[in-house]
Order: sequence, then structure tokens, then C-alpha cells
Amino acid sequence: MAVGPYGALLDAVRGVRWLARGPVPGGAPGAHQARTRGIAPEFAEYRPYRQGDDPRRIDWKLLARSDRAFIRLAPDHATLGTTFIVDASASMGFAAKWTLAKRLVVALAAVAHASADPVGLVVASSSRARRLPPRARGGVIAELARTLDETTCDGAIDLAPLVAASASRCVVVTDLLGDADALRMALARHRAQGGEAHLLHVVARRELEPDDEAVLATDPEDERIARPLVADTREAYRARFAAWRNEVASRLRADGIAYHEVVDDAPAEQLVRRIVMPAGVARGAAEPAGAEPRR
Amino acid sequence: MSFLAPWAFAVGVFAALGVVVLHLLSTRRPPRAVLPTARFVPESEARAVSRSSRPTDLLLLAARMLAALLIGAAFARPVLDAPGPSVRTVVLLDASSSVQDRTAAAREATERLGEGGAIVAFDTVVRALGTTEVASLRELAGAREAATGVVDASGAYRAGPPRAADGILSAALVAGVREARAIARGADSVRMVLVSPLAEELFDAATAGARAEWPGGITLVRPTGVADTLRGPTPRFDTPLADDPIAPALAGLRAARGAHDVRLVRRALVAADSAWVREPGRVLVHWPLVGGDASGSNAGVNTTTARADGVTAFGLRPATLVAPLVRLPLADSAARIIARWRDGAAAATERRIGAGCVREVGVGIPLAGDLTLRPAFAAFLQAMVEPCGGARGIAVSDSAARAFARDESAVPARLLTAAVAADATLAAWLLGGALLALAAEWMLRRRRDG
Repeated sequence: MAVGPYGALLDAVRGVRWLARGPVPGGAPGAHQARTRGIAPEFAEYRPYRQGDDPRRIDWKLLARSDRAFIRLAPDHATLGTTFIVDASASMGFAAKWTLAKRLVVALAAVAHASADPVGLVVASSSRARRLPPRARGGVIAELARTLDETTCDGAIDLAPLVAASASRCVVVTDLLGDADALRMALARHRAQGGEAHLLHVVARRELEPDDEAVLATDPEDERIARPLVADTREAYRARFAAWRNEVASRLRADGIAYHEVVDDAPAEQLVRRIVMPAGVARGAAEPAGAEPRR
Repeated sequence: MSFLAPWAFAVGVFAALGVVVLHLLSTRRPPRAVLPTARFVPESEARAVSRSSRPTDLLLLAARMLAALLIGAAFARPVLDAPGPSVRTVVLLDASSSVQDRTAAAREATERLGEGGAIVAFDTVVRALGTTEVASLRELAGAREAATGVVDASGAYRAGPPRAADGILSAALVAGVREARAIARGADSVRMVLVSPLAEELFDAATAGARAEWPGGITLVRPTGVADTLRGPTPRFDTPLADDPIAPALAGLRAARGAHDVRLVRRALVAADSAWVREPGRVLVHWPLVGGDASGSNAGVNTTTARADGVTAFGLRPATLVAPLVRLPLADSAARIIARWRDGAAAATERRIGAGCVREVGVGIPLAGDLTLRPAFAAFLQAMVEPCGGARGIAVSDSAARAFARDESAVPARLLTAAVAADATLAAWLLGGALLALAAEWMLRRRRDG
């Protein structure tokens, strides 16, 4: 598998499993617990035989003892399709945000692919949205990495319309500086439809702690926004930015969306391990360096 | 280049320093920088105070400083300094009749002139000598014998005896100050030299004020040989009367001031008197006796008519006599009045006859009394026997001359150049340079702000 510069990262996350946050719809056999029951060797429960059931699944010993026909059921496991929607707007090109986004997507895709989950990619850029449908075949990770490497961050684009075509597990990697509210509603709708929604909020360290030098801060996606970031306004900026991030995190979590704030100077492998933690464990995990405390 | 208004250039220098300070601590638009989260920066004025210990935009700073300095220099009334000696000299050359040896005076003047200096010749007229006239003066100075030529106010060298012209020192001082200001450009200092015997007639009421116009000292050069008009043959008294009350005063006058060719007539004038007085330098004083003899013109005037009165003579030194006097009638009231009674009436007159003059004195001296022994009468008598046209050539004392000259210090050129017209062309060039610097500053600022 030609994964270029991601080799070390993939080695670091080898063995990591990314289980679904709940039962997944039935499908091809996989690593995630499915909502359906199957015929696996391990016992789960009995169900009275109904016409149409496979007679081979009748527990004959129980029939002999109770003179009643029961079907022996076992828990079923299925795969979970995962679609990564990556924000490639101009703001993602700031500092190391895009680099971190690429590494997280490749690493998480490799983790999911290791569980035989199909992984797909949607790169949202102003020129065109490049789509890779979810596939489980070998080489999909390399293809995904190549697609990301060929992408240049530019312009501004809405991510919300892209969520509808996502697989069951939708992972959005963005800095939320575009259509944040519409995206939250789209992910909430996806969650309500039984899907699993993750949002990786990419933040640059220089956005959290801007330099002391007085500058005229300019929004790369909107030239009309140009404001002096000087000593008098720096503290107010930090406070407003932190308040906004806390508000966004609270709303997303309230909608059942797995929210993770990732800072561009944090090691990607550590972030991957934190992201794939089960929900209960993840809430107790330490926050990444540089992140504001949750309210 | 120097400035006539250096304070304006100082203002420009301070403005340039202010530009540097404002450059380091300025309210300007900070440089643009991409920040995706710029929307969270509070909205405020896009220009913010920016402090920098290391100056940036050095070209911009240089253009602004240059503009400030050039504007300050343009308004400081600049003048270009011509190369020349550091000390220049203005020579005031006395060309009046009080100077006897003009060759010596011309030599003194030309020796002290120096490079870039100026000569102001004066008698009753004042004029700065030009190049040709100075050359004429050098020619006169090179003469072996004492020259009889005159370098008068017109600067010409003309033969003949010195003309009887008074000098006006006050006008010469004013002209000298004006010439000093003219030659002060390019020099460190200017000194003034006065070549004159410094006779008393040079001084008038305006001399002190004109002297105050020159802030420095004056180097006084007094050529030898003053033409003393009082010097002459022994006076003769036509009617030496043993009991003449004027006789004692005349004796004292001779002892004090030397002799003069004066004929004092106490009787009526005759034709011989008129013939005598026509010779040059002779003075005939007709001063009749009160009560007179049988042949006197004042026969019949009673001495009892004397009464307290006052008379003032306008000689070299005005003299006022207050005593019992007799007013004698004057024959020629149209002549020049040289003494007046206290009510303004003519008391003595002077009339030219040939090369001499006749004075009619209408002040009757009573025969009795000690009036003629008083100093006031001696002064009055001195005025009456002065040469025709008044006494000349009496040099002031050395102490008075030192008081007039003060010292020999030169005057700094900067104190004189304030009255010199600034170089308007140079100021225009400086302003043009300032405009160019401002244009460059505008272009640099536009390029910087993108």
C-alpha cells in the first residue's frame, strides 16, 4: 500500500479498533454489533419457531425436553460504512490545519478499514467536490491519501448538503468557520436516521494564541473582514473565540454528535486514539493540549 | 550655505525628529495577516498604535525627514556663502577739509581695506567707492609727496586745494553699516575702520544714534597733520586801545588758542578794511565801542542804555552771554547771522567779502564792569573771532575718541546678515526638493499599503 508520508502514522495506529457507538444495521459480517441476530455459535436467546424459519436452527434438545420448537439465536456483527467529509476551504489552509486534517482522515480510515469497514471520502473545495464512495477493497487508503494530497485549500463551500449522501458513519473534518449551524442540523438529522456522526473541529494553535505583533487580521474567505488584532483587542478575541467554541461543542453534543476539538500541533496518533474511544471513556479522557475547558 | 532665520531651520530639525518619533510610535494601519478566525476580533478602528524599537520603512522615514528639513531650510531664508576671508573691513574715509594730509589718509585706508572690504568716503556727501575709485585711491596713496588732490565723496581724484567741506560722520556711519551688511555674506565677521583726524565738526546730534547702529568697535586711525583753520598769523587789532575792555579777553584768547588772522575794528570801517579782508583766511570783526569816539559809527549811543540782556553766539561751541548789554544797530541784516539776542533778533552777522569775511557785532559792551573778564565772555569772543564759516579742524580729545571707538572688536556676520535679502532662488529649489521628497513619500506609502 503506497501511503507515502503516512507510513509512520499508520504504523502507530495499527491495532486500534474503532467500534461503533451503538448497534449498526445489519449487513456484511463485520466487527460491529448489529441490530439483527444471527446464527453465530455463541448463544444469545431463544425465540419460538415461526413458519419460514430455517429448521436447521431449531434447538432439538430443547424440543425433546419441552416438546416445543425454539429457535436458537446468536448476536450478529456487521460492517459500518464510513464517509469522511473534509473541509478544504481557504481557512483550512491556515497554519497546519490541513496537514492535521489529512493525517487524521488517513489514520481513521485505516483504523476503520482494518475492521473491514468500507471507507469513502468527500473533499469539499471551491473548485469541485471530489468523492470516493465507501469501499472496503485493498488500496482504498492509498487512493484516499492521494486524493487528499492533490487537494488545495481554496474558497468557501457549504458542507451541510454533503452529509445526506454519507454512509452510516459520517465523519466531518472542518474548522466550522463556514456553515456551522446548517452542518450541525444536517448531522443531527443523520444521527436521527440511525447514523453515527463525528465532527472533528480543527483549530490552529495560532488561532488560539495569536502572536503579540499587531496585525490587521484578515479572513481568507471574506476580504471584507479585516480587523486590527492588537494588544487592546487580543484578550477580547480570545474570550470571544473560546466562548464560540464552547457554544458549538455544547450544541453538537446535545444533538448526539461526537465532537472532538483537535489542535494542529497535537500528534495525530494520539488524537486518533482519543477519537476512537467509546463514548463513555471518551468523556472522561483528558482534553487535548491548548483546548478550552468545557462548560 | 547659512540661514538668516535659523530658528525656522531649527523648527524643521525638530519636525524631522518628531517624524522619527512618530515613525517609531505611530497610529497606522498594521500589516495585513491572514487569520481565519478574524471574525472574532472586536471591530475597531483599522488604524492602531504601533510601537517599534527598530524602525522599519527606512526609505519612507528618510523621505519624510528630508521633506521636513528642506521645508525648514527653505523658510530659514537661506543664503549661499561666497568663499572669501573670514574677516572683512569697512573703511570710513574722512574726505572733509579737516584732513590735511590726504595721501596719508588714503594710504591708511587702502592698507586696512583688505580683500572683500569696502571704502566709504564722506564729507558732506557719503558714497561707497567702487573699484575704479578705489584704484584711484591707491594711486593717491602711492604718491611720495603729500598730495593736494581730493578723494571726495564722488570718489574722483581731482587736483586743487581741499575744499572747505564739513564731514558728516553720522551719515558715514549709516552708510558704513549698510556696506558692512552687504559684505558680511560669506564672512565670519566684519570690522570697521575710521580714517579721520576726528575733528569736532564731524559730530552732530545724530552721531550718537548712528554710532549705536554699529554693535562692534571702531578702529580709529588718525592721520597726522590736521588742517587747523585756527592756525594763522598773529591777529592785529586796528584800534588797540589801552582802556578797551575787550583787550584783556583778547590776550587770554591768544594764550589759549594760538593766533588767527583777525582784524578787530572798533571804529567805523574804511575802504582799506575792505581791501584787507579780501585776502584768503582773513576775518574783519567790526565791533563798535559803546559810546564810541567822534569818528565811530555808534557815536551818540549812551552807555546808560545798557540793560540786562542775553545773547548767544553759534560758533564751534555755542556761547551764551547774560549781562547788562547794549543793542547796537546792525548795518546788513541780510548777512549770515552768527549770534542772536534772547528774543531772536540778530546780534552779530557775517558777510563774505572776497576770500575773507566781515563780521558785524551789535553787542555793546559797557565800559564799566568786569564783564569781559568772565569765562562766558571769553567763549563769546572766541565765537566772534572764528574763521570764516566757523572753526574747523579742532580734533576731539583722545579720551573722547576712545569713547567713540570703544574698542576694535569686529561684529559677527550673523548679526549683520539679518538685513540681507535671502536667496529666493535657493529657497525655491529647496521647496522643490521638499515637494519631490513628499511625492516620493506618497509613492512609498502607497506601495507599502498595497
